[in-house]
Amino acid sequence: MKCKKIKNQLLLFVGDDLPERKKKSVESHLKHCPTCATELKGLRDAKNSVHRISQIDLPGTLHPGFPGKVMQKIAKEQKNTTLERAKSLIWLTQNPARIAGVFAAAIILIVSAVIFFISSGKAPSDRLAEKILSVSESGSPELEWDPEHIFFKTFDGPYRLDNWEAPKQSGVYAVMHKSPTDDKPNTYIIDYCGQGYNLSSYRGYPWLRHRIKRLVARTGATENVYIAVFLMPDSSKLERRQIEEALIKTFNPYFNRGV
Amino acid sequence: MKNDCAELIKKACSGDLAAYQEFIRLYSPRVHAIAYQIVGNSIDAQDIAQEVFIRLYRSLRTYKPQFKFTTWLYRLTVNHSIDYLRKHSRHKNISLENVQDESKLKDSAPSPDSSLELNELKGAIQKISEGLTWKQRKVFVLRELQGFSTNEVAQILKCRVSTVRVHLSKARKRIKVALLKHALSGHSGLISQEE
Repeated sequence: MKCKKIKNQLLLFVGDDLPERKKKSVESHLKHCPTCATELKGLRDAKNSVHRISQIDLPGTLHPGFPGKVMQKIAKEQKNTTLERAKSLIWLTQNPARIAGVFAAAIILIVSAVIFFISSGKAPSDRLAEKILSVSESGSPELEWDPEHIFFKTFDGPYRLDNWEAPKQSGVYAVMHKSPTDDKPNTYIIDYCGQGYNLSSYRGYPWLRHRIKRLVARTGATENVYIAVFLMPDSSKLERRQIEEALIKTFNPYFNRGV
Repeated sequence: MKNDCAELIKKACSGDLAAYQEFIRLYSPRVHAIAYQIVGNSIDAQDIAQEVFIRLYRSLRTYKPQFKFTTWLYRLTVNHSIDYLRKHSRHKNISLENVQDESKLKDSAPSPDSSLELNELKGAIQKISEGLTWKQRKVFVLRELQGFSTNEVAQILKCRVSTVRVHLSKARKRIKVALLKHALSGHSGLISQEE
C-alpha cells in the first residue's frame, strides 16, 4: 500500500479509530516503513499533548448551588407561564362580549374554509365527468375523431384491442369500433364503457366474452375493435364510476344498455 | 449512573422536580466541561449549561425512552455551545489574558512554574481550536477531549461514523500542524514533552 494512503489512515490509527480490517494493513505497513513510523510518532506526540492539555485545562468546578439555581429558574419560568395563561383567561372572562367576538371570528373562519373547499375543491374526476357531459349529451354512440374533443384529449388511444396489453393500473375505458360506412372513416362507435381497479386483471375480458362474439359480429372482425383508456392511479371506485357513468350517459353504448 | 439517569428522568417526566435537580447535580460537570471546551470561557460555559438544563426540562414531555437520554443531553450541549459561539463570535476574541483570569477560578491553583506552562498550553489549544471548522470542533471536543468513542460521537451528532472519522482526521491533521508550528516557534515544551 502507498505511504500517502497510509498517512491518511494514520490520523485515525493513532486514536484507535480505524476499522479493524484497515488497522491490520496499517500495522503490517508500519513494520517495514520507517517514514510512516516516524509520522505516527509525530501524531502520537501531538495527541499526547492534547491529552495533557485536556487534563490540565479544566473549566473549574461549578458552584455547588448550580442545580438549585437552575431549578429556581425553571420554577420561575413555570410560574410565569401559568400567570400568562391566567391573564389570558381573565382578559376573556372580564368581558363576555370579547368571548362572543372570538367565538364569532372562529365560526366565520371555519365557515369560510368549508365554503372555499366546497366551491374550489372538486375532485378531478368530478370535473372530467362534468366536461364529458357538457360536450355532448346526445346519447349517440358515434364519436368522430377530433384531437380537441375532451374524450380524445383525456383518454389514451384508441388502440386495437387485439394488440393492446392491459396495464396493472386502475382506470376507465371505452371499447369501440370504427364506423363500417365509407362516408365516416374517422368515426368510432362506442360499444362498452367500464372501469376497474386493476385493468390487467380483466385481460381477455371474461365479462365481455359472451358479448365479444356479438361485437365481432357487429364489427365484422376482431381487428376492428378498439379501446381507449383513462388511467387513474390511486383513484377510488367512486371516482372511476363518476367518469364511467358520464361516458355511458353521453354515448349510450350498446352493451351498457343491459342487452 | 446509567440506571440512575433513566430512573431520575422517569421521575422527572412525571413531575418530580427533586429528581431533575439530582440529574443536574450528576451531569452538570460534564455538560459544563463540554461547553467550556467549545467556547473556551468558564463563565459562558456555565450560562450555556444552565440554558441546556432549562431547555431540556421544557422538552421532557417529548422524550422517547427508547433513546439514550444522555445522548440527547450532550447533543443539546454541543449545538447550544456552537450557537452561542456563532451569536457572540467570542472565539475570535479569546486572548491569553482572559485565559489567565480563568485559572483563578480553579479550586487547586498550580505552582508558578506549572502555571506558566499551563498558560502556554492553553494558549496553544485556543489557537488550534480557532482553526477548526464548527463540525471539526464538535468532533474534536467529544472524541479527543471528552473521550467518547467514534460510535458515541456519531450518535450525539446524529451523523454517520464515517462522517465522524472524516472530521476527526482533518482535525488531527490541523492540530498536528499547529502544534508543530508552536514548537518550532520556540515553545518546545509541547511536542518534545514526551521525549
